[in-house]
Amino acid sequence: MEDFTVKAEALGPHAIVTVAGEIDASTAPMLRAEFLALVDSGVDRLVVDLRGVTFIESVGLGTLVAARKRLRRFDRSLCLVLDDSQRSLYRTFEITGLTKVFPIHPTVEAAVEDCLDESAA
Amino acid sequence: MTGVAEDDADLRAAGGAPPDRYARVASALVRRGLLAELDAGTVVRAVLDVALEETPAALAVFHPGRDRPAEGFGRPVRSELAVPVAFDGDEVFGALALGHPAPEAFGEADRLVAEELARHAAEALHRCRLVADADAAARRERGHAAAMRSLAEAAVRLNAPLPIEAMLRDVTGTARRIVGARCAVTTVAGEAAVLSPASFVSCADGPACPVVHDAGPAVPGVADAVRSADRLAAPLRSPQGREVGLLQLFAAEGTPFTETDEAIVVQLAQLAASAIEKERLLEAQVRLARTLQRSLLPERLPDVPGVEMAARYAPGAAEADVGGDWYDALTLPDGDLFLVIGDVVGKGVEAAAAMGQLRHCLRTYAFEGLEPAAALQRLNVLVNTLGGSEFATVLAARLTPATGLLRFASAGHPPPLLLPPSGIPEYLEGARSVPIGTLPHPEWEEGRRTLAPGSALVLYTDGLVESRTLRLDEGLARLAEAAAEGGDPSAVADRLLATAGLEDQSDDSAVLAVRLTACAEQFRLRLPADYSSVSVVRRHLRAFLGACGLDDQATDEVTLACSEAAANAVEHPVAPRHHSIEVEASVEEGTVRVVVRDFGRWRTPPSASDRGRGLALMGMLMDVEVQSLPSGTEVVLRRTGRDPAGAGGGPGGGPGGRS
Repeated sequence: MEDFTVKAEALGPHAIVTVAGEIDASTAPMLRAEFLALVDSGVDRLVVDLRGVTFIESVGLGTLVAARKRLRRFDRSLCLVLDDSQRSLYRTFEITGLTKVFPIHPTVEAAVEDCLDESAA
Repeated sequence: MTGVAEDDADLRAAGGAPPDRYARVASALVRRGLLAELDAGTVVRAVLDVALEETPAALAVFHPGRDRPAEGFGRPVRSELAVPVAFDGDEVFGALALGHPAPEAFGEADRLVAEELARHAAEALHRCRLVADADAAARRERGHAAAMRSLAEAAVRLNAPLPIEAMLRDVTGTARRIVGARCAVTTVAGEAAVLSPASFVSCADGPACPVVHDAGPAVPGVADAVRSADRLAAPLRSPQGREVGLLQLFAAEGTPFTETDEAIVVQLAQLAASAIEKERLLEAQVRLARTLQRSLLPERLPDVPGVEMAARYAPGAAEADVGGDWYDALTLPDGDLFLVIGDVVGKGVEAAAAMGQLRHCLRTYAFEGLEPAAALQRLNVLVNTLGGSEFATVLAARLTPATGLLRFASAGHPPPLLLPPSGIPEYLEGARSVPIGTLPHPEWEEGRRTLAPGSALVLYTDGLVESRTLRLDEGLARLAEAAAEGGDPSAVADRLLATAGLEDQSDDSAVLAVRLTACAEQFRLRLPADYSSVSVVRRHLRAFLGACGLDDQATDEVTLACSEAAANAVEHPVAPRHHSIEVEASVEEGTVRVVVRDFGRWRTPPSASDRGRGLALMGMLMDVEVQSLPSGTEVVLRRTGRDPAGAGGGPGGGPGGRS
């Protein structure tokens, strides 16, 4: 099993959070703490790069949903990055209807661009 | 003896003994067979008899060793006549002394007769001595030749690799026979577990030798050989001066030890000491190599869900034949299994050390993510670059337990044997390049095969299929036949070693057997009620479902549902009876059934919390039934062959679909 890691990188108004490993009840709290810190620091747009993630379950989904809600409250946005090869992960988002909630992009660049558009809109 | 005095006067007047007296002496001696007599004792007795007959002497004594009589006749005499018995004037045999109780008993003629008698005696004794000397020389010659031959034969025997005990027994017996001793005892000192303190006894009288108890301490610090008439002791000292033990001999009745005996025994002791020292070093080296070999093999095999493994290593039967065979199995970060079997050419400590290096390099490459062929390529470059003399055959394989995908590459190694759950064993040929260390840049290719659930893969070294008495093709056929009998990996590995008949096998052998868990077996896990257990459940379940032939999507979905159920089982129970969770799973005809059990009552009906979402998620993936039992709570998840989540999200609906 790969180790779970979260790495945040603030680039002006937006931040990129790179996650790797499995997001479940034992790892989600780390992700939640990272999101809270970033939201509180005032970033406008959060790009969550999930390309290194191999599994996500409901607590993980809940963490993403909670972060999005918090950002939306201040008219800010959250985008996800998922690779073409992550069918299983995508399927989880799809089954739970979250593909309709989160903008999902194949690359960080596309996500950053889209997030900028979205918050400008 | 009357009338002698008158004769004396006549003789004295004649100035010499009359010729007939000389003739009588000569004929008397001839009658007694003096000319043919070869025994000095008989000669002397004859001479004394004739002296009494042919002279007036009442007493005749031979004093050996000196030309004058040393003492008297044992009784008083008043006349005495003594003549030396000497050959050619310088070879003195003794003195002939004649005595008479009366005074003036001997005249000049008697002296001349006595001298004539002494001359004959000297000649006869000289002849006796010549013959005796010749005999002794011949005997010595023969004895010496025999001793030398025995020594040479012993040297040849000792030069061959023999267990030290056998050497000592041999030396002890040989020493006794060569010098004709009654008993021989070799005592040795204990030496770092190679030699235990022991005595080796050889006795002409049989095993119950009375002198053994007097043999003394094993190593008495005898600087040089010690010889007395009845005991001969020589230290067993190695050429480096280390004292190994002591060889002692006890003489047989009547044959005291000689200088020659001592020289022979000293030589034999030296031979034995060198041989023992050599053997001792060899044995120590073999032990070192074996220890090294064992220490370089994995202590245990990794525990990988969905895979059973067993490995065996058997050193060669011959003492010195410790080779560089090895096996290895490691779990990669992605859960794949990296398997290696190899054989470094060479024997002993060097081969074992080289094996250790190659093994660790391959492990590193595997962890870096290199595929088998690439890892072997890198290993070959390394060996060639370092200019080492290593030469090894290696087979490396990567097995994905969930899918059964096997990727392998071989550097001149015998092909892996595939045992399908039912059907005929098959050697996976192909993907074979030259051994490591042969060419700087050989071609490397990868072989692929998907193993069905329940399949086993056997990796082995050539010791199992090839020997002096077994051709490779026969060995391969025999291995396949033995493997086809099936069983779990431990049983297969044991049987293969047994079938190979390693007792007459000089090469060492290694075997690594790996089996993908067959679906028929039920999956059951019991883990601590802890969030960290949930990922363990996922890992094992995924492997199990994969082995049971579920496709990726079904495996993902069941795993996700069960992960949710397991997380609930960790989180929900209030004051559980014990802090553990249980997961059971089975797949029958495409229908998956999973039970997740905890041992407490749930806190509240799950609501729209994260966990509530989890329950909802389970429901989307599988049929869910929550049962509250006296023992705790059971969540039963079911999924038929159909996809209950609907066809909406086929593989085509990937993330790239959004535009």
